[in-house]
Amino acid sequence: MSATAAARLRKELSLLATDPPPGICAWPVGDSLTHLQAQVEGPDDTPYARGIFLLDILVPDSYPFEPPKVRFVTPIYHPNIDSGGRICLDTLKMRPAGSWTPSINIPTLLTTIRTLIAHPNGDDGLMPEIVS
Amino acid sequence: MFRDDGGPTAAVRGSALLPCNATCTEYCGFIEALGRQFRIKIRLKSPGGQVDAEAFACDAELSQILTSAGALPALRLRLAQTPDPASFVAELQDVLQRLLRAAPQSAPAPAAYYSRLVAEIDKVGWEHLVTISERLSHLQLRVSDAAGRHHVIGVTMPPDYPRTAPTCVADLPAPFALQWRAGQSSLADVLGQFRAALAPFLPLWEVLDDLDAHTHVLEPEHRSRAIAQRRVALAPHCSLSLALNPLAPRAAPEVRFLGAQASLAPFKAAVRCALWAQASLAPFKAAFAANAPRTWDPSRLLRANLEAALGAPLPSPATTLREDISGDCGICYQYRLADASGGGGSGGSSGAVPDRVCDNARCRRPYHPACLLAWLQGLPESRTSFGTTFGTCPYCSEDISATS
Repeated sequence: MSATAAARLRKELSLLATDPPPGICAWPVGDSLTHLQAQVEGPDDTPYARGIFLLDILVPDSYPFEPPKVRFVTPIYHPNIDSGGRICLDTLKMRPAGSWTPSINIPTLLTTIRTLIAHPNGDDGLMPEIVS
Repeated sequence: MFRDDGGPTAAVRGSALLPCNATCTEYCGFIEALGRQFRIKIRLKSPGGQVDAEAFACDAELSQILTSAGALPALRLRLAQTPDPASFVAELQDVLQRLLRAAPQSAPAPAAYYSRLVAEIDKVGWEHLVTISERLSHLQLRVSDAAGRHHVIGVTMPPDYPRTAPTCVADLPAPFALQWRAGQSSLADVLGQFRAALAPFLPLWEVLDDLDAHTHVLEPEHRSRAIAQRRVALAPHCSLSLALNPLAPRAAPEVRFLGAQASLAPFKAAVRCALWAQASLAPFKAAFAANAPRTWDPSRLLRANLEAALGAPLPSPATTLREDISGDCGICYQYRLADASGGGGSGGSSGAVPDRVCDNARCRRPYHPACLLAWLQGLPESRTSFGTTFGTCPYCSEDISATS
């Protein structure tokens, strides 16, 4: 992993440890900086409230120029998340298909995912049967 | 019958190596090079076969010669390719002879040298001595100037001291040239000349110390008395690069503005007005200067003049935090870019600082030029002409460009 990525990840992890966004907890798996896990609490006033969802995050060597790969480990019934835990979210994809930029970091990305849980995107469903 | 054909039971030909186990896979003994002998121990992968270069061991003296020359990794590589112990020994001897020839003769100096050195240090006073090397050939001496600043001079004694002048390394803006009269000069003269060499720069250090104490100095990262250059923070993401004349530190320095053009414009106009009015800078504009306000006053320190010219005090560590003045790069989250080229050159400036700032007044995100370029080049919609890549800011999506 590049020095840029390692330095930035260390900073993000200390940010996650000292000042985590609401309902989000993330930590490195073992000594590796490239493999992280996160827990996202289901947002209140949604069917997911009181649920805790485990996510697996793989950070590429070229981070932050490329987005991390995020996957739900906990099964979730959601129109934008398939049975394998894959997430349909444009911030998780490179341009031009997606909208990843280095201005997004892991705390903001997890917040975006938490918002996606609360506000499913019906136009872009991975699971057509759930959308209806 | 004793065979001497390099066979498994024999000693290794051309060397003083003897087997030290029954299967003849381990040898120890001596290797000779340029009249010096070193004890070594080798292990063979099979009897009479290749030497295991990883298991090669030697005495401390040889190990020191090999490691100090940095030859060990290359040597291991070469030794790993030798087919048998005899060629291993020949190869090692060859390398060793070359290293010993290249290494300087390090015979201890005659006793008279030491007694003379101690007498000279006695004369200048032991309180001036900071460090001295193991062989008493290199020492550092310290003196204090009128303002109580400490200055250290490194003195390396030649083997035929005092016939040859010692080499001196001093932290001065100008090179320190030692005047040496063989046989008559001593360390006292070195210190005397060093003190004299310090004198012209006292005003410079006064100006620089004032800057260092009362402003956010972004560069150089590691201060040195030799550097007459400072980059001081002006406002968030704006800074002022000052190159002082070491011998006339109170005159107007060479000023360069760094940061977003829009936020710098008022500062630039103010400073330009102040410099323009300085008669010594533009004598042919004397008529104009006489009318313009003479704000640059050489009797004041540089910081006072700058603040007068800018019409506002420079941000000081007493009132602002460094983080508020200059943010980390929006891409790598670092202030100093982790420098792959290891550029820790003069002035100790290691790695670039984020001085490419988004021109959007509401964004003002700083980037390292290299980080921004890497991002823009990866964008499908970016375009490059004449080495400049145009794209959009990762934060505000305004147009931004980076030059390679």
